[in-house]
Amino acid sequence: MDDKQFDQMLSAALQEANRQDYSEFDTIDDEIPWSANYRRERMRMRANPQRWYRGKTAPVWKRVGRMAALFALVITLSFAALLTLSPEVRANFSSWTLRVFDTNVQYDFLGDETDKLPWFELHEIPEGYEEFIREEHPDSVLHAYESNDAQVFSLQYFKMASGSALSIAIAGAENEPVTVDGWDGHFYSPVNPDASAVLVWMDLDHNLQFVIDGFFDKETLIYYAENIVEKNN
Amino acid sequence: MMYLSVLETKDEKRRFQLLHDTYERKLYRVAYNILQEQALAEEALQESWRKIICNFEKIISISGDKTERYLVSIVKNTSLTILRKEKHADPLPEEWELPPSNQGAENEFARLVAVIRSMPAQYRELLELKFVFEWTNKELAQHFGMKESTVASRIARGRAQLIEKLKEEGYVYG
Repeated sequence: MDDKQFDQMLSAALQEANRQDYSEFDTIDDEIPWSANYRRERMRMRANPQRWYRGKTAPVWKRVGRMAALFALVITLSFAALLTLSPEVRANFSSWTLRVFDTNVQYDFLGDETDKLPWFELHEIPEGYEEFIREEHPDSVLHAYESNDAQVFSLQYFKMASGSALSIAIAGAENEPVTVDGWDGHFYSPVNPDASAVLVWMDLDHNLQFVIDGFFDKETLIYYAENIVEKNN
Repeated sequence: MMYLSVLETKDEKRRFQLLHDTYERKLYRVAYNILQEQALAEEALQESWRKIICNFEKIISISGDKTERYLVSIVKNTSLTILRKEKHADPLPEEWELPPSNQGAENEFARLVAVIRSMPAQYRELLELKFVFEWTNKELAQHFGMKESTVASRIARGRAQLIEKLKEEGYVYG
């Protein structure tokens, strides 16, 4: 055996040692309580691994740091301006807070726990899309639709309750405050053309945060958002 | 940005989904075992899937235990990298004590695996990043916060000790 052969054997042996170290997990088959954020990323990865990969490896330029700081400033100013104009916005604002980081935004919730999660669906599905995932969990629901060319469009909603938070990976995305049916929200438009846009809004009547994610412009996402209907499930 | 030319056909996507279905839970448990926090373990798992997709051509060319070995090694080292960033990692030991002689292994590979499993974790991490993932000595020096010359000597010493151990126990080398 020469040096090269030994190094090849060493590489295989190092990997085999790892496999043996963790062989105890081979017999465990319990369900894992994935976070909402992970489930969303997993769905996108499985639907189109190459597109997901490109989105994850897009360069994060240094200016993102300055952009993140700008987002925080803009959001603060927006709310400050709105607070002076409308006492109703103050009520909106007190149920959740938004924190902006370099690679993600996080919504922290302050409301009371709601009872059973209501059932919402899209009244209208984008043309060419078919539902391929429908998941219901105690604190969230996910509907995902896939087009013929493997683009994914999703509707998710989450209970807002004290101690819970929702983090959305939006590295490089531009942010814009919007309203959906009168509720405060944000539209995130990605800089990377391979990434989808995200619309987020907080429905304080139902104490739910909604997230719509798809390859559409702001007006289209708001259109679908304002056509969500509540149904008996 | 590197262009990824695999996972374009339906068959390749199906094979990826099968790989994902087969290993996702185990790989999560490996990450959680190291990081002890769900958020960090999910971060490690996502980063690992990114690396798996990048190396998909290589992964589909191997099978069975060899696939699992490689995937577990990816997740383990990704998790250790996150752990290293989250908290101060223990320094790389200068020496490590070889286990006592054991003639019970069926062959030199099995014996090498057994000896490796007795090594300090940080030493294993160094050798894995070098020999499995082919990091350069410069990358290793930055990762461990050491000089390149120190990294090179630790690798050479660790490798030499493993060879010496196999020879001492009668396994063929050279």
